[in-house]
Amino acid sequence: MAPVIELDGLEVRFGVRSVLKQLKGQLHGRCIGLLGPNGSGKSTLLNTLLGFYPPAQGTARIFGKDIRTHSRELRGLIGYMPESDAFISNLTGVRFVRYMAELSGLPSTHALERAHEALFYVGLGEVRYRKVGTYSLGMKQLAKLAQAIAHGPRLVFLDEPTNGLDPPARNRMIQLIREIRDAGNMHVLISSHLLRDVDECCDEVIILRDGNIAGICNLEDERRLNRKFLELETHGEDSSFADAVQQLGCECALFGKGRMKVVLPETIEIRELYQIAAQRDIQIRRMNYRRDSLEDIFLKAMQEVGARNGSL
Amino acid sequence: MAVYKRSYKPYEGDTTSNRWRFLVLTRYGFSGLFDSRPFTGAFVLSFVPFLIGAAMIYFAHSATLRALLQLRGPGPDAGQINNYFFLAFLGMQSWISFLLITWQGPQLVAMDLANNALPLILGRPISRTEYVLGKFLVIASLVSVITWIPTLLLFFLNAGMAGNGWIWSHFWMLGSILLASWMWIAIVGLVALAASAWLKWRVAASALMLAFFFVGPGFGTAINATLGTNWGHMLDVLYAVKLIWVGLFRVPVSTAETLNMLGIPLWAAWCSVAATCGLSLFLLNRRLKAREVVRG
Repeated sequence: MAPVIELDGLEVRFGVRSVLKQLKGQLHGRCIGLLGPNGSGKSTLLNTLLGFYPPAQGTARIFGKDIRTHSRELRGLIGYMPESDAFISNLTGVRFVRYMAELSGLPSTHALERAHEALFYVGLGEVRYRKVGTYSLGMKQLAKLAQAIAHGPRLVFLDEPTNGLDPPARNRMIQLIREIRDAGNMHVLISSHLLRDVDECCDEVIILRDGNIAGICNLEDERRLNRKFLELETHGEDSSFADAVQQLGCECALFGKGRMKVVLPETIEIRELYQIAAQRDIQIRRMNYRRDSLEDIFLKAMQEVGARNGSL
Repeated sequence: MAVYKRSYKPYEGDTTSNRWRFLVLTRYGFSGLFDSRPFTGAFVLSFVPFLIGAAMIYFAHSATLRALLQLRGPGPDAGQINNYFFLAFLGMQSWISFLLITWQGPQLVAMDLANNALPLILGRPISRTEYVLGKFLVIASLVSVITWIPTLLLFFLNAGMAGNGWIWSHFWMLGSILLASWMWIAIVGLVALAASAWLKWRVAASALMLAFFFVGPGFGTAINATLGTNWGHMLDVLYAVKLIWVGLFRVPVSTAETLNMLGIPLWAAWCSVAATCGLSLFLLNRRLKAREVVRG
């Protein structure tokens, strides 16, 4: 599968300071999370991909198109929701979104239609004739999302989309991002320092630290892998249960008091564990998938880069 | 859209031409200007001098009308509709356009900068040059409608009424009208955009624009008085514009002398105008960026 974004030795400098350092990697996900602590270069990477900053060295490709040579064409394929406030206060919601859609190349009538649709879609349909300057913070975030998707881009950049939102508004925003991810032929790149947001939406993450790539991780693969690891708590004769499970072809480790960890091969279903337990009159009281949380992945990546830097 | 149909749909329709897309900025800029009713009223009033000018030309050429009105004493005659008449008319219209642009022009860029909308605009297939061009065209069209278009209409009205080859003997004036007007459009447009790019608050940008045109002459006069020279006029862009116009409309040297319009040479006046435009473009280039870069 062709990568959505390909970083090819991308380096960005502000004066003598290197903000992004020789980034290399490929991102294929439908929804990609861009993670990193504050100042790690997340927004700079987004802005460089948008053509706001010229690369000092190397380049990046989006859908196979070079950002150095196809910047204008790419900006037509991208929707962008910036982190900070970005709106024109004296325009009504519908006019604002229509204006942005027209600038992306939609004819006027289509842009109007899409503006109405996008505003209804994000939940601002009832207030679309109010001036954007009068919207609340949450509504402004939704208006920014509406303008980013109104022209039907192939890739949307969302820079800290849940910034400043209260819990219900955040849930709504996350829900919308998931729907966008699942509904159309659109890829999403979310830049955030909130791991939970990324964990709930993304299937791939790229982690930045100090302008370097600390890690690229396919969360879907990671989750699939985690599906093989089970933590069990049983009541009854656990050693015979463990023997039976091992005979089935699983790796098994006992931790006493009926607690055990099991690694399931691809061919074995959980149902078979229940059958063994029933045959031996064992109660399975608890069964958890071991879950390598995004936080674990993030911390591991940070530690690895830290250790690498320390060893230099 | 019905609520039950609410779902995201990708767009699969046509798109507009890349080349002319910056005109969207112009269209929205215009609509923003004319959202203000007082501004629309003032714009309509700016045509009053044109109607008066047209009436004067008609009056000057119509002996019947003069007889009907039983006019006694000297009135305008056909000979008075000359280069002075068109220079005066263009000068008046230019002042009106200046006031209108000072009033509403700065909002063109200031509104985009005030709430950080520039990244949204430049994140689309629009370059910075196209952005400036799109906004500049708003001012250029507005000032054109007030200045050179009515002046040319009066010119052709007079040519039609005067007959006898008047148009051919005054053909040079067409170029003068166009050149003088476009020079004015460039100055007013670029200064208005630069002022609004540097001051996000529209009122402050208008004040800065006024200050540029009226504080500069003060400094120039002070320099002239202190150093006993005329080069201080270089700081007075309005003086430079007048000087160039006097040349373009072939006002005799003796008349220009009495109007104190020979303080600096013509090339210096052109330099002053070019420097004003260049400085404005430099400021726009510095300010109109999708993202500020903090170098370190």
